[in-house]
Amino acid sequence: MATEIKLTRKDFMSDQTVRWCPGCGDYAILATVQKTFPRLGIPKENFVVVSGIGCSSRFPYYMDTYGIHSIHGRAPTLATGIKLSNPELSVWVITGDGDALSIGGNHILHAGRRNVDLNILLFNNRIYGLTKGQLSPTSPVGTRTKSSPYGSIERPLNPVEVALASGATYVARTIDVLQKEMGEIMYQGALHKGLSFTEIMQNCVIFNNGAWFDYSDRSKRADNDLFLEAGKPMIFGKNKDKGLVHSDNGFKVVEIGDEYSIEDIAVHDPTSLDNAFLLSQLTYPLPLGIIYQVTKPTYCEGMWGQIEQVKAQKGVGDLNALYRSADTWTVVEEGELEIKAEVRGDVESNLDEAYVDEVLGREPLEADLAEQLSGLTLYDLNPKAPITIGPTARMDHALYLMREHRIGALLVVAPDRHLTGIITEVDIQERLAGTGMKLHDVTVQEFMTPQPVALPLDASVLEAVHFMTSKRFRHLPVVDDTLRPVGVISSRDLVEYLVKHL
Amino acid sequence: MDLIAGLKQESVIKMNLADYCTAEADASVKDVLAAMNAQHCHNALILRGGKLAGIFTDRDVLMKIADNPETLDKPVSDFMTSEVVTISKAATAADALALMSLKHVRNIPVVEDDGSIVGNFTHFSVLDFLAEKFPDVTLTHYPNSFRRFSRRRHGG
Repeated sequence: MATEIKLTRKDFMSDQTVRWCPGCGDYAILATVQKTFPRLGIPKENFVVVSGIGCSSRFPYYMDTYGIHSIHGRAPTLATGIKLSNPELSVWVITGDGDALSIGGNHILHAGRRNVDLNILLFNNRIYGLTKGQLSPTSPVGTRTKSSPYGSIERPLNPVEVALASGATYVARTIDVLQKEMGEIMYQGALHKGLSFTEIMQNCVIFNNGAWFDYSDRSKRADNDLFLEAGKPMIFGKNKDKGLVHSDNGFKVVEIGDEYSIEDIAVHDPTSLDNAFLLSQLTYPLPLGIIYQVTKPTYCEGMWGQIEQVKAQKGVGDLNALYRSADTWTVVEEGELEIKAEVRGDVESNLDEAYVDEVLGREPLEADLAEQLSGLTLYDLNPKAPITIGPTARMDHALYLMREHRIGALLVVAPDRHLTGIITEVDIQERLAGTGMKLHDVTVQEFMTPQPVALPLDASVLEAVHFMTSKRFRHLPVVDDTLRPVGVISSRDLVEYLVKHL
Repeated sequence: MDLIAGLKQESVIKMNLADYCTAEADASVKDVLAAMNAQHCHNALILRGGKLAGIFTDRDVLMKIADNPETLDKPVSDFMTSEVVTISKAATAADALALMSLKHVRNIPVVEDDGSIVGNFTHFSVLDFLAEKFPDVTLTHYPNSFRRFSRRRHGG
């Protein structure tokens, strides 16, 4: 039984001293957020405020909700994870023009295209405030700062345009001085299912005072701001006597009077992406309000829907089984290593000359097969990833790995990762079983066969056949140029490949 | 002629089937291990009254014996695989290989109609067959690309 949740602004005010400069636009935004949250009827514990780095990113400290002051530019990523793991939460991302469009320029795009159900508030003051006044990605051309002493030569990004291009399904713009309108935009954004992106034009009183003066000052905003309302003609001006009409190059500003009547003025359609892009280009008048809003499937719905679907088909997954299924390796300890060398006998001396003479006398296989075989390399075999172990590990661990992976050979790798030995089930049978050896007391390097024969990836398959037939090796390590193991081939792998491909 | 066609033409008993040794079912694990090691063999076919009763391999040693000394005095029949996949000596090498792949086993004992053992078909049987076809490459030419562990440190 749900009870009505009654919260007030006070419930969202933390006990922290707000450390923004006196006169900063952030105060107004903070107050508006604190007034908007109680209107949403969401339990207090379900709000999360995530920020990156910057002046605006101090925001979570001042909100008496869950929150994370996170990594520069990465707030959308962290927020995506939070929302995915608990879709019940109302997740808010507080970011600035630098955090969102420079450092986190990538992350903001992907939050948009995935349509994660987040509410992103981008405080745009067109300057790096926290680091004391350098150029930001929204600073206009010509801006003189400590990092652009002769004026910026970079064209600025337009946050609304970026959000539209990334695929955000709710894109709005407002100004710090318009608290009532800002509150309504936040409220609508919170109700919106999918990513809501709001650019808040905010004044940095110290390093970029008056950046938005033309749109925020009481004497100018009536003439320069266009307040958008869905389904209403786009008119503005102190006397509501100007409006936008469609022209060949987008929108054109006209006076309502003799030439144009109110019927000629274009009507705002927030579901039209074309309309939204055209509006994003305007600086006179500056469109404020909900520029674009459509409904599309959200990332959460997609992901959870897919999980439920796969669970219904395949049952609940076993993470542990997946984790142990393949491609695992053991990180070896660093340190000096002394290997007792044990050189094997020469291969040539083991050849049975009489047998060779006998088989040489036989009728050979057809030439094209011979050619085909000699052209095959171990690379074509696609050797299985090796399971490796460090030389200082104990034999009980080696045994555990072989049993767990159900494999007959473990490769022993030195701290610099080159192949230094091998342990096979043959070794276990011949030199371990029945000897009374205490597995925990014996290290891998004491037990392994050092200096194992290994082949490079570009070795001919016939060389592997050679070693397996003449030396009865059931496993051959495959190494790269630096003698690091890249695979293992077994006699089964080799035979199955040859039968299939020859 | 391709490899599989060659194996189809070859009777399984013409293959190298020597990769095994035998032991009695009531012998202790310890004794069977000693016999296997003495013969450098890793697959023991276990007999009871001259007939195949099971198979005991180095994989069984790895999985069941290696860290359990108390198993050594028990009879090998407690640890062997008693349901052995076998093949008639009338089969072809290709049949044996297909069976091996199908049952996912590494040893296919080849048996007479009365169950007595003719030999043991393994992957080595196929590799030996192939090596015979390419003696100049696989047997007489010393491979030139293989690497041994080097004491020289690489990359550091």
